Amino acid sequence: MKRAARVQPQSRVLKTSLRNKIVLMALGIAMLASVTMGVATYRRSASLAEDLGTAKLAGETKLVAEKLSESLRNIQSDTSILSLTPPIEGIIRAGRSGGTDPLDGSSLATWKSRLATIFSSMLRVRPAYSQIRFIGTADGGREIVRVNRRPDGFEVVEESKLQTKGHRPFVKLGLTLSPGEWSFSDVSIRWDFGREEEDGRPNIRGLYPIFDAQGKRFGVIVINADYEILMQEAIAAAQPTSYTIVANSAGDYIVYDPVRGPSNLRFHFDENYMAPAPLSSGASADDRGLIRDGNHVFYESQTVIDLARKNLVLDVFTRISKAALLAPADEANLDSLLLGIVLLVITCTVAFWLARLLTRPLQDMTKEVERFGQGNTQLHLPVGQPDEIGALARAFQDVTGDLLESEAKIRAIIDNVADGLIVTDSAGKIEMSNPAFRALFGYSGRRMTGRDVADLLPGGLQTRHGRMAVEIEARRADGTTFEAELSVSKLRVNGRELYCGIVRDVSERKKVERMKNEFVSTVNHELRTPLTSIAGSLSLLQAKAAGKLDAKSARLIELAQTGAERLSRLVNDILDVEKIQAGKIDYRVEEIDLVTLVPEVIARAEPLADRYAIDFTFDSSLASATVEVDPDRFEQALVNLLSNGAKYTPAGDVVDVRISSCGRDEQVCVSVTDHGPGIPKEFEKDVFERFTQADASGAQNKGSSGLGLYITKTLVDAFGGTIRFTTEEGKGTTFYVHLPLIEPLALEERKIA
Amino acid sequence: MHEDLKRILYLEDVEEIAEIGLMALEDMGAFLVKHCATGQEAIDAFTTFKPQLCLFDVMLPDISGLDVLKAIRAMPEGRNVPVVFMTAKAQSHEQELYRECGAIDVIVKPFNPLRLSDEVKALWAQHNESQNPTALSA
Repeated sequence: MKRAARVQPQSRVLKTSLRNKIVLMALGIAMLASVTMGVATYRRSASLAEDLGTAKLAGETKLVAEKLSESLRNIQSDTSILSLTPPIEGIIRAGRSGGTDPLDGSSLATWKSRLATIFSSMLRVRPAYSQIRFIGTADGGREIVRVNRRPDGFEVVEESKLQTKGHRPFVKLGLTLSPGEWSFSDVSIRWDFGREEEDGRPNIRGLYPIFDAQGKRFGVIVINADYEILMQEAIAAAQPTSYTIVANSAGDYIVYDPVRGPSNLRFHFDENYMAPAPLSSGASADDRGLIRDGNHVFYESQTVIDLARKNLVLDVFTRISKAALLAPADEANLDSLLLGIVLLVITCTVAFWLARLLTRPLQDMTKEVERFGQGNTQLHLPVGQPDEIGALARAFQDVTGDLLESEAKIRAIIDNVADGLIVTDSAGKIEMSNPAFRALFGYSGRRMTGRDVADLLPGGLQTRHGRMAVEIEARRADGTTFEAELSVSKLRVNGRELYCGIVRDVSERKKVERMKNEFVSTVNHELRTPLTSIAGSLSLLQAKAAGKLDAKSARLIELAQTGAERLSRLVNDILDVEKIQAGKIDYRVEEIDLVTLVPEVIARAEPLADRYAIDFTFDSSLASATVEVDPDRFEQALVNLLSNGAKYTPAGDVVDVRISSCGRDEQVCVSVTDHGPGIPKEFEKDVFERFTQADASGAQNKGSSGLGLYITKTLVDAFGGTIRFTTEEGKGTTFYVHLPLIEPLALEERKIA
Repeated sequence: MHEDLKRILYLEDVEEIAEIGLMALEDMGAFLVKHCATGQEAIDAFTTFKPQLCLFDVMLPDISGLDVLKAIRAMPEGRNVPVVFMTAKAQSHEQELYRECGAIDVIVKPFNPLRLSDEVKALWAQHNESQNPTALSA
């Protein structure tokens, strides 16, 4: 489970399975596509719906406008028909001829009566007309014939009640018209006897000028039409399916509702008059001609009825609600929404199925890998699959193969290593041990895992880790103990602290060591005992017989003494070597100035110089050279070199001792130069070995054990220094001892003769 | 001043060496020396001879020099008598052992008979100084 936990992705963004991610991704893409498509479709269909709506509104608007124009132009054609009727000519002729028509003798009154009859007939067929008049230019614009519509019929106004209308704007307009030209007055309330009619209704007046045979202006025919009725009839005839507003330039308007029919006229002089919606808001049309106002959309069409004077402009608006306008688009939108949902469902299903298909091998592999983690090495991985999963499986198989192989190798090494190997946790519980360890502690064939290591190795491993191996008393399963060498290292594996111990049974080695020591000690003792009597006797003999012996006898005693001394030195050297090998020399290290110590050693070695009839010289290029050495052991090393030099230097010559810096600030060099025969080439490599001498046959003559240089080198090494030599056959040899300085060099030259 | 060294108990089993040692101590140092060849002999002689200083070999036929030292230390009169070991078994760890057991010093064989008396005198003086440092200044 630990392994599986480590494979968990660290992403905090999507903490879900790969399968879910694929499904989510597919859903996201499908949703994005649906939304994009939906928006695009909606925009397109909305545009189309608007085009469609605009076309419909425009058609209706034009239809209404045409009907309105038609009914207004009917007034115009009626005036021109009236102007061509015979009574008009008759009235002109009778009026000019003093009341009687010169053509047929009809009186003026007859002609007027005939015209009134024609006017009445016209009123009968035209329900919207309220009044028809013939007004003359004479007498300030006096009415000649006038017929009014009454609720109970038609009134032909008597001669006495005819009025003068010359001051009225429509009469003035009518009297400016050219022959054949026509026009309309503004919509206004009718005037009677110089003031507006009570309960008067807004009228529009059709005007047509009348000229006599000579082309002289005679008067004007005026048809008053009830504007409201006229408009209502016209709209009803058009039968628009939309809400429609018809307005003129003065602002008078009628609203047509397809359900309720036409409204009354809203006359601009009325109290509570309010301009209709698109006119009052001042909203302007877009490039389609649509005016948007609140929840409604209007289409406007302007028609100029009197093209010549442009004094009658009709504005027709058709209205439709935004929702109605966009209804077709909404339908298309619903379709695309449903399609999108279907697409999402299909995508989801397919993605889920596909993701399962993709992740199934991965899940299977994860299970297999977990089984590998639990120690199962027989894995069934989809290595044959030709895709990335197959590649992953193959790579994993390769890795596990390598892992298994290397684990098997390491296991074989651990199992076959002769030393006991053990791993514990930080609490001292054994986690692993090799067969050698179990055999060593008598646990062969028994389980050790989980035991406390302190039962076997007192103190455990935790306290002992370090570079040095330690000797401890180990305890076997049966309670017996043995001497063991233990080295412990601390490991850190996956954040856990582990201790690895290597245990070696050293009881056998210790036994041999003890026996060897015993032997050396015994040999030493057995050699020294006779040596003591020989050397003691000789010394006493020499002292007691001094002056009593002849020269030859005295010489013999001297030779015997030299031999005894040499034997004694050999025994000491052997003991030293034994100590060195056992690492048992105790060094009493002090800070020593070599420039002081070396001359003292030379002085103490004077007997050597005397014996070989040579001289020691000393010379130092340094004022002082402080090193850290055991002075006694240093003396031993230096005396070995001096003795060596003295032995090989011909009598009467010198051995030079010199202290110098050796070109490096942190070291000092002590050199001893002899003027002997030099060291033969073939022997150079053995100079510092034990029991070696340049000339084995001459060893006896030189009186040395062959251990001196070995001891010297061992001591110099122990002081952290180095020793080397240069030699030239026939000229001599120089040994150089380099020692580390503990103080920087004082480069003051100092010479001692 | 401390008293002069006169009586020495000398324990040495090897006849030839004992002869040389005796010659060195008696002739050169003019000491009064009681020589014993075995450990038991030395223990026995200690009470009667009442030596001022003991010079013991370690390797003996019966018991070791160290055993003799222990036996003497067990006696009331032997508690403060200085003991010097003169032995060929003188590797550094062995010398340490002797000192730990109470020897004041170790003389390594082969010894120089001409210098033995002087060495013993020097050790005697050294021992007395360490026992009674004010005696020297007095």
